[in-house]
Amino acid sequence: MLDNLILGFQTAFTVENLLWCFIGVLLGTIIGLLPGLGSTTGVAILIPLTLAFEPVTALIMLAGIYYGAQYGGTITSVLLSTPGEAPSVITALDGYQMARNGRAGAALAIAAIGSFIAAIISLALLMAFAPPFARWALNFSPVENFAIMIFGLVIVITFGGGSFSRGLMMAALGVLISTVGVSVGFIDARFTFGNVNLLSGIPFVEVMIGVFALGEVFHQIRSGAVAPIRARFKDLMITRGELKRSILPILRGTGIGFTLGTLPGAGSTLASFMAYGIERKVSKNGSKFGTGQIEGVASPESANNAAANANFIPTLALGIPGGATTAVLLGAFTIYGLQPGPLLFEKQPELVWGLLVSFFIGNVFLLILNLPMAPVFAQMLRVPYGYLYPLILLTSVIGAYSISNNTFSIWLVFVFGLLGYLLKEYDYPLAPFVLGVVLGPLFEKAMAQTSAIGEGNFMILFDRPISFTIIVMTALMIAVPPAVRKIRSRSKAS
Amino acid sequence: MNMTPRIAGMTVSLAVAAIAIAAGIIGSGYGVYGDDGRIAGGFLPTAAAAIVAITALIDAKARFSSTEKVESEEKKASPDIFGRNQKTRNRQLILVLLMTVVALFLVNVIGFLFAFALLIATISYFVEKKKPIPTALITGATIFVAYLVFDQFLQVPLPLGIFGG
Repeated sequence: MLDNLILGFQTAFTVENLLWCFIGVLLGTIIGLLPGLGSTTGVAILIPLTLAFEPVTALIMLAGIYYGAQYGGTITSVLLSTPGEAPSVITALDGYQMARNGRAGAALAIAAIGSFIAAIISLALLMAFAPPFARWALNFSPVENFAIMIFGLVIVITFGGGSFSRGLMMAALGVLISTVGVSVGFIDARFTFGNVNLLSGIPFVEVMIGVFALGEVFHQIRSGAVAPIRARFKDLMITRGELKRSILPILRGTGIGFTLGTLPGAGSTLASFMAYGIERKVSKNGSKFGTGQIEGVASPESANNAAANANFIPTLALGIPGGATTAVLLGAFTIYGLQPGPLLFEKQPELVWGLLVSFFIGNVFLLILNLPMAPVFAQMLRVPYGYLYPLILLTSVIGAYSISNNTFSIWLVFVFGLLGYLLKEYDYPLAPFVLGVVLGPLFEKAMAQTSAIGEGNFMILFDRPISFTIIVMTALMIAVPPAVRKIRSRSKAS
Repeated sequence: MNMTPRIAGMTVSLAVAAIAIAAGIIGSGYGVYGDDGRIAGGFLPTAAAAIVAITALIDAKARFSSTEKVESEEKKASPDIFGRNQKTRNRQLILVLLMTVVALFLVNVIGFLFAFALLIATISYFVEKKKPIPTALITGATIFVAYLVFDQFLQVPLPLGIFGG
């Protein structure tokens, strides 16, 4: 491991990689705090810009955008009560109240400090656990992979927000869209209707840019603008008492975030909500949560960042994304000709360890940037959305075009933009949809291989101990939450 | 746009169900199982479409009998910080959608950058009601940066339309 770590430092500490890591986290922070943009949108839009780079540099920059946007998303949560990202939703409860009480700076500072501590701890754990996990996963056959993909989809459906049926609908819709074109292992061109542009399928970048970027633009136009609260330098100072109150919540949030982040399909959203819920129960100020308690910011923000890093364990080791943004990053890997999964650690140690080490560097950049600069970044919230969205429209469409050099792509982006708008407007969860689109081809391949190994019988999933265990866990994941809800409602009624 | 959110959401779910049923029928035409009992190319599209159709119908029914979100919808309909009410915002959205479609059609006629310059300028001036000078500045700066990044730096062969020679 030490050799790999040294290799990682050698890769990450080049002038070029340090520069693009810095640009990535800076852009990420700005993207996270601008209305209508989030880490998923930001990564999707900026993939085309990285095509001229070496894969490791491109991924370092894209990953920087990912965790930079987590920081930026917190600024909008605290100052606008409008989270840029789903995981920051819960931060808005106490963060916005702190801002209204004149403690916006303290809320932003503790979010930055908590996120930094969580990131460093979770990265150390990520480095320790990801390689052995990848080695263990080398033993997986297509049957186990198929079971894990079902598990990942079920987790994201269960915890992706909204009802189970709505989540299942979105995941299946994503999978259905991924079946367009000629699939590996089958000869039929499906749903192409004679259009040669569809033969190789619907590219995921166009889907992501459309659903997240254009969909959000259309949604924001219809929703209207809200007024931000100003963050001043003099409010930034966090008191010793606030810091002391935040240490344990940060550590608890980190533990919860890392544990949940390692599950394939369970994103940062679940982690931040669960951390907030647990903190509310264990904190002595729990009854005051929602009125501007610093623990209510420290814990979910730490959980959010720890989970974001832990998401890379299933993404890199299994090739199964931990959330929506890692799903887009997974797609980026394939654009650069890389296949995330157990073999990535053996075949591309320089890339994997360089990327992991760059997370450390990026988080140091973020802390340096965010502690003194948070109020400056917050001024960007004053950029009227009317100036911003034509820019997002142009960047999205031109970005999609630059990957394919085909005007068909820009129409795809528009169509998926309309779909994205409808999904947002009527509260359909997007994470299961994204996972369905990205996992679809892998899912179909694993399904076909499992069918072949079992000679048409999927009961083979129950014949192997690992796949059997995963299927049992999946069944529990489906059955337990409604059962718990039922028991709770009964006990409340009685 | 005059439908209540509940009815509109239900309509979307019903439309998704209808599309999924059609996709399922087409998908099954690719063959669900092969001769050897293994799955064929139509298995996943058919299965996924069936799941979408069933869950979309469940969702439509749930939305029909739901009374949720009345308060948040009322809040959503209130004027924003620029004093635009929901009707104005709906009209803005329709205008932006139409303008985007026109710009996409114009890409192959007058070229990518000119089509989008036109889009940004019309949105800024007619939809966002910006004054001519800020409109010109925003449009010029945005298109110039896009030209530098995509045409010069990334060397993306952007469509030039009638200006392509």
